[in-house]
Amino acid sequence: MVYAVLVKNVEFDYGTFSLRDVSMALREGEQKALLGPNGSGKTTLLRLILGLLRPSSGEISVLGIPVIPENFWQVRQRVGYLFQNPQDQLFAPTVWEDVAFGPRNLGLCDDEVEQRVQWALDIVEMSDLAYRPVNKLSHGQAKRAALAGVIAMRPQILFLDEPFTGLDFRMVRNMVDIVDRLRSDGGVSVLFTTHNRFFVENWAESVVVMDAGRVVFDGPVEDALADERVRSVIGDWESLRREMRSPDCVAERRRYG
Amino acid sequence: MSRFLLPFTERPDTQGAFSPAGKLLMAAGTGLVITAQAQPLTVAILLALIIAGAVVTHTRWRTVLDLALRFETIVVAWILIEPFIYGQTVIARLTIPFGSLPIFAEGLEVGLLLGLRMMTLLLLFLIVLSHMTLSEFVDGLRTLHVPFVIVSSLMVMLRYIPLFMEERNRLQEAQTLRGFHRGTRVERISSLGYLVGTIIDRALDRSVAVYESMTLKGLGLGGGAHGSGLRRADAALLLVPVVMLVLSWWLLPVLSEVVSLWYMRFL
Repeated sequence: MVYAVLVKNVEFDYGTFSLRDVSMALREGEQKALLGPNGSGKTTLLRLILGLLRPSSGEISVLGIPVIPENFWQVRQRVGYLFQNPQDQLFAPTVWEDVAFGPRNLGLCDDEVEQRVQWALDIVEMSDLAYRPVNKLSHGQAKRAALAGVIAMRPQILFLDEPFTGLDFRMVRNMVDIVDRLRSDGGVSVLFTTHNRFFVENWAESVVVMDAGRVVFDGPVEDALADERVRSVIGDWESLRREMRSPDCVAERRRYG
Repeated sequence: MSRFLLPFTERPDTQGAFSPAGKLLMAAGTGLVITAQAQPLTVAILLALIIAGAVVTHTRWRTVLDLALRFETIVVAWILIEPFIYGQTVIARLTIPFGSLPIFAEGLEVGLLLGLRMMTLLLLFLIVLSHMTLSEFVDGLRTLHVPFVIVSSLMVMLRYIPLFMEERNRLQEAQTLRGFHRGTRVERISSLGYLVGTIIDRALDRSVAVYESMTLKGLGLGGGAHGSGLRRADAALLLVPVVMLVLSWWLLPVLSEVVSLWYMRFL
C-alpha cells in the first residue's frame, strides 16, 4: 500500500529539543489531525516531512518517494504547506504575484499560470483582493491568500499548521469549506496540527497525538478520546470550566471588580 | 509596493516582446556604458536618452521617482562633499567659524560626474525593474545563470528590510505601552541597544521562514517559468547599450564643441 505520508522511527535533535522514535502514517485521501501541546514537536515533524529539516535517523516517504535532497522538489510539488503565521509565507508585493510564484516555478506557460491563480483566488474568495499588497491584508485574508498560493500548485497532500489560530467563526467556517471542497474535488490528503479538541472530534478521521517529541497515539478519533494519555495531553478543559464557574471563583472575580 | 524597496509591477506583461533576462542584460550593458563616461555632459545626455526611452515605454514614473528620491540624499551629499576634499585648483572659499574651507574645481567636476552617474544608474535600474514582476526578475536572474545563492539572498534581503522595519515598529509600540517614553535618557539609550539586538534576531527568524516558503514553492528547485529564457526580440534590446556607447563617443566631441562655442560667444 502506498501511503500519502509514511514516517518510520524518525529521530531528530534540535539543541534542547528532540523527536524520539516518531512513526506515523497518513493514508491517501485521509484527513488526519496532529494533536499536541505547545512544543510537542508537531511543526518540527511537518518540517521534517517536507525536507526543511533533516532527521538524524529514520525514514520518511511521501507517496512512496523517499524524502532525500535529490527528491525535495518532487516532494514539494506534491505537498502544500500552510504556515501557522501567514505573513511568513507571503513574500511577493501583491497577492496575485505571491499566488503565481509557485505555478511559475512549475514551468507552466503564462496563460496556465493565470488560470491557476484565478482558480485558486476564486476558491479562497480573494479575487477582488488580487492586487492588494500583502502587508495590507487582515490575518484572515492573509491566511486565505497563503492558502491560495499553496493550492495553486495543485498539491496531492495538504499540511495545515494551526489553520484556525486567530480566525473568527466565519473565517473558520470558510477555511473548513475550502479544505472540504479540495478534498471532495481532488481527493487531497490533509494533515493538520491543532491544540483544539473540537476540530479533532468533528473534522478529523484519525489523529496522531504527540507529547514531548514522542508519538503517544496514532489511530481513530473515537479511540483517542477514550485514551488516558491522550486526555492528559488535551487537558481537562471540563474541570477548568467547572472551576471558573464555581461560586468561590465567581465571588473572587467580583471582589476584584 | 515601495515596502519592497523596488518598483516591481503587479502583473506580468504577457504580450511583451522582450524577456526579463533581455531587459536585465540591456540594463547591465547600459550601466557599463554610463560607468565608463568621464564627462558629466555625456552622462547627462545618456540620462536624457534613458528618460526619453522610459517615456516611450510608459514607465510608471510615480513609483520610480518615489523610490529614486529616497536615494537623493546620498547623491546630493556626494556632489556637495567632493569639492571640499578633492582637487588643487581653488575656485572659492567658504568661511566657517574655524577658518575657511577651499572649494576645488576638480572636486566639483568629479562630484557632479559621480552624482550624475549614480542618479542615472539608479534611474536606469528602477525603470527597468518597473517593467517586470518579482517572479520575472527572479526568472531573469536564473536565465542569466546568476548563482542560486545570490538570487535567494537577494530575495530574502528584499523581504528582510520591510520585516526589519515592521519588527522595529512593533517593539517600539510594545515599549511605549510599558511606559518606555517616561524613562531617563540613559535608560532609553540602553533600551535602544537591547531593541536593536532583538529586532535583528526576530527579523532574521522571520526571514528564514520566508526563505523556506520560497523554497517550498520551488525557488532554486523548479525549472522556472515557461518562456522565461532569452527571446529573439532581445537582440534589438541588446543594441541599446551599443547605440549608447557609439552615441557617447560621437556625441561628446560634437556637443563639447557646440557648448564651448556657445560659451565663448556668450562671454
